[in-house]
Amino acid sequence: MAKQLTSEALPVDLPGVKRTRKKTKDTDNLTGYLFILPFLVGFIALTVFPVAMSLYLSFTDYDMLGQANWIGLENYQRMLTDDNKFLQSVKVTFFYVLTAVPFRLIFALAVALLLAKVMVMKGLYRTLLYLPSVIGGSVAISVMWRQLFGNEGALNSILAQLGIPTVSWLGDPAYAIWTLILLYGWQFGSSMLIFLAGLKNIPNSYYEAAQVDGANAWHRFIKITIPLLTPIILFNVIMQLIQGFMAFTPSYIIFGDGRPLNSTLLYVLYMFQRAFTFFDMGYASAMAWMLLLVIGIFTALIFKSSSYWVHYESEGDK
Amino acid sequence: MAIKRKTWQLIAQQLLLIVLTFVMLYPLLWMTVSSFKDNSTIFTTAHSLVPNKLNFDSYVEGWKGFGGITFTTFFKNSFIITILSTIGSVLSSTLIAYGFARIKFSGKQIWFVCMMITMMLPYEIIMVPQYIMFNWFGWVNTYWPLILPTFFGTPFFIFLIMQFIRTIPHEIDEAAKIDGCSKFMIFSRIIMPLIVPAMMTSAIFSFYWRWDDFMGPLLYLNQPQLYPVSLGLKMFSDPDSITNWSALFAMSTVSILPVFIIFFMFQRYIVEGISTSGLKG
Amino acid sequence: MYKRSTLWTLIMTITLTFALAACSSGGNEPANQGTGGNTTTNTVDSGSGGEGGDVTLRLMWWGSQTRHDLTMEVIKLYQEKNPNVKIETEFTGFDGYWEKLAAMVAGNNMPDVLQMNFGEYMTQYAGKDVLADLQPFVESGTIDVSKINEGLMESGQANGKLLGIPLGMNALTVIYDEQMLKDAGAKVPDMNWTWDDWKAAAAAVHEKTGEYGTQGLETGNIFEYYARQNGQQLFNEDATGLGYDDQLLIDYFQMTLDEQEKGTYPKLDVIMQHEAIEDQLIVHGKAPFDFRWSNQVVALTKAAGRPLKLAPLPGPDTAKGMYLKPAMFFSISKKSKQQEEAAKFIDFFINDVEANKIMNGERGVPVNSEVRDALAADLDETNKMIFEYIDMLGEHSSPIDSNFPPGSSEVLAALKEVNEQVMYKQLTPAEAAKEFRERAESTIKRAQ
Repeated sequence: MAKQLTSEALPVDLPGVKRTRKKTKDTDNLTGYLFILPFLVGFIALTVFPVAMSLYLSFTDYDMLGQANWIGLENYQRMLTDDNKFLQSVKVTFFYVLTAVPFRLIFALAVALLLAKVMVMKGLYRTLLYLPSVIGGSVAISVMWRQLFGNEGALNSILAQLGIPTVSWLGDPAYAIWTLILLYGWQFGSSMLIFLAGLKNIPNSYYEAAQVDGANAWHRFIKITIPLLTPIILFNVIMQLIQGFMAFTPSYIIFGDGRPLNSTLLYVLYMFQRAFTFFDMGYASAMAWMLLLVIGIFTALIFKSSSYWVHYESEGDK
Repeated sequence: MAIKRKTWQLIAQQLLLIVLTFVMLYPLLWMTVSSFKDNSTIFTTAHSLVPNKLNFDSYVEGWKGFGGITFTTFFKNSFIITILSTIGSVLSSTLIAYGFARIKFSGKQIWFVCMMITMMLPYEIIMVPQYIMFNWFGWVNTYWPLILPTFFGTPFFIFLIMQFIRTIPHEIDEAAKIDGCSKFMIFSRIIMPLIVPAMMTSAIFSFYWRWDDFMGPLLYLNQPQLYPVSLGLKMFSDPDSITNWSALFAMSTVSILPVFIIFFMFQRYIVEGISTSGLKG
Repeated sequence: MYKRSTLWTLIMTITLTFALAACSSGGNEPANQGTGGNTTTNTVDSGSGGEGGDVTLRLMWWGSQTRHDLTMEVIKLYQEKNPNVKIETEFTGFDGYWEKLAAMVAGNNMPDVLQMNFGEYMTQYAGKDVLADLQPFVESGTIDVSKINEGLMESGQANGKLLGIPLGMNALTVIYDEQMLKDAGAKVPDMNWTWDDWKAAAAAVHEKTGEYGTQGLETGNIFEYYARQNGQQLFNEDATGLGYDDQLLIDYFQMTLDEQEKGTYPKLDVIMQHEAIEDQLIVHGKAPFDFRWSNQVVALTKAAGRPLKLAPLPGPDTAKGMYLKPAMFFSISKKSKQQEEAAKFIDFFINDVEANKIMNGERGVPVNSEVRDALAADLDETNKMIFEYIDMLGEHSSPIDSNFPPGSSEVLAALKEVNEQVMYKQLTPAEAAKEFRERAESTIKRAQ
């Protein structure tokens, strides 16, 4: 993994690499390691073992109840050549990630911008709009969501009133995934909050200066807000991408097992089924590492591109 | 004229927000209203947002819990787990984030990549090996597996706080250094006050995630006396037998209150944080 | 400024101390509190203080509020009668139970007694040698099974061992709305009704009211019954493959597909929208028939708020197809060091009248016939109907098939999938039967 990422791609500066401005005398190994010590201890003591073991298990036929027998690359082979459900889940997941993540981020940014302007009862609105994110995985949502999207549900009633043809949201394989995408967008609270905090961090003086220069609202947004928000946008994009790929609960609580016709079979849902319903933990571990590879590549690409579009105040003008 | 336009803008803003909030909160309202309905009428009157009567029995019935263990116990446990792990997580993540964002040391890149990787493996796969490990440590049926790991930082928060630190101009550090500040002093006196919004954001997330966490407590706690609220809520339902829906919804509603209150209390530090000083820009 | 950093240090220190305190108290607490209400534990502790032979049993189950409350009461009763035994209860909802149990097995930390499900789960655990053979306890009389239906006892057997003791009885049943059928002039089900009667009644109701004629059928269970009533089985005798002719599955698919075409049988979106028991079509008066397990009738009737009736599944040859199913088992962990004591508790749980009066059939109709009789007098209408139904089936049923092969959970999931494909007309019944056979056979082969 480390090889794939160049120093430019990472949000951390490396000593001795051409790009960094400062000379090696700024390197402070002791202080650096002191600060990240908690992470190191936790990583070595608590994280390495389970992670390494899951990698090992991906080469076995482990079923959790008995012995794990080494079977080499068989799990990976079967996954890529002999499992239609796997391919289906990959397809569903890519579609989900590529629609739900931008949807949530754009919505969250729009609401954050709106909230940043509001003067009356702003605390209350912020709180209320964050609330949907708070009941995410509860049973109430699964019951409620099915009521909303049912044939005689609220959404179809509204569509009918507007004269738009209604749709079988839960039963039509072409539409079922959209109920999950809407659910993902609905829980935009955490991204919104991070955007709000990021907006707060933009010094007012920049806007004041721009106003003196006669820049209009749109210009200020494009020239100040967006560039200064890019570190936060980078964070949100990467984290939402990771979360999107790992999404599991929404499909699990609403459709259960990928119905209809496996159109909501998200990758991690299928992995979970293999592990705990079919007792195929070895295979599920292999799926997890395959997922890690894919997310890793995406993340690396985004980090790599970030040197072109993310603006860090701390790096200033070179 | 200008004032009038502003008034209209304000009204439009408010209207938009009210509509948006209502749409967003509809499922939540539905749950709360359902908690007041009779258990048997929840589904037959699902379309109505007006309960036929205000039935507080479900709250009483729900609070009683299971086999003599009430929700008082569950709430107490949740608070212990949540508060401790939130404090641990936010403080350690802030430290670590500063190390990654501002100090140059060899091997940093590799550790950063390691940290990112830990976020890319689904917990469902890690949980069995992790259980085996914590079982060796003798930590099963204690709060250790739920609280201790948070004191080693949470990757999500580390990365978040890092991104915020990186929006702070280096000049500030330089100036402080010239004044004779050590790295730790720069961290605690200059950087920390500036990233309060990020820390508060992390605290709010951490509180909610821990509060809502179900799989961890389910795996590691055996005795219901130790269960948090998130587990208590799951004990109402069994797909094969009677589910006391109204009690379930009642307790779900109550369980959101602390999250709501914490959020309401802390959110202003995110947006009206103390970082309005002239340090920036 | 200086104050702030001291403040943080202070907070950190306090937090750490707190964490240590909380964690260690977390570890000790259960030891002090034992199970359930404090009163129980106190009496138990004082009763057994200092004496030798104290036993602590770990007992794990899933369920909802009623089951938790009632089971705790039964345990309280048992502890009063056996002061040397302390039972540590570990109960949860259904959600996550199997994940937790799997982790416990992997971590070698299983409870002594655990609730187990018939079918795929039992098969999976049976193949792995983690459950104790209970046959010796039955032979020594520690667990008395003489009052239990023999066919039912077979369900707990796998690989020649007895791995679970059934706690309650269940059976498939057709729940019907008599009024709705009568209003439509349809024939009301009786002991000898057939699939044709079912179709005719469904059509009559659909025509008269415009509502559905039936709730959808849960493919796995109903097709298994269908195979049995035709003298065949879902899985073959030695659990190495499927045990029916494809024509049978084709007929079954064709039958449900035809019903869906006629509009009497709901489409998948409708079935999904009404997933909770309390939310079924029959509850809303939108269909006269519902195919379910008999223990779900209580919840259904309560939600409907009007009496519903029970009939066996449609014939012909109902008795060949119907079977009594264990609602769930108690099993003992093979690693348990207190199997004898665990067995005694199970015996108490199934045979003690007082205990079963507390449970009141919450885990299905009691397996012990004497207990059943003792309870009969105090039952409410719904439960009385269920008890009678199960009693009737005692005469009119055949032993359950417990020859589930390894990998059967994946096979049943595949059956559900191809059924969906038939209903969405992606596959014809013939194609679906062929596809299912291929998938099932390759899965079973791989799992063996």
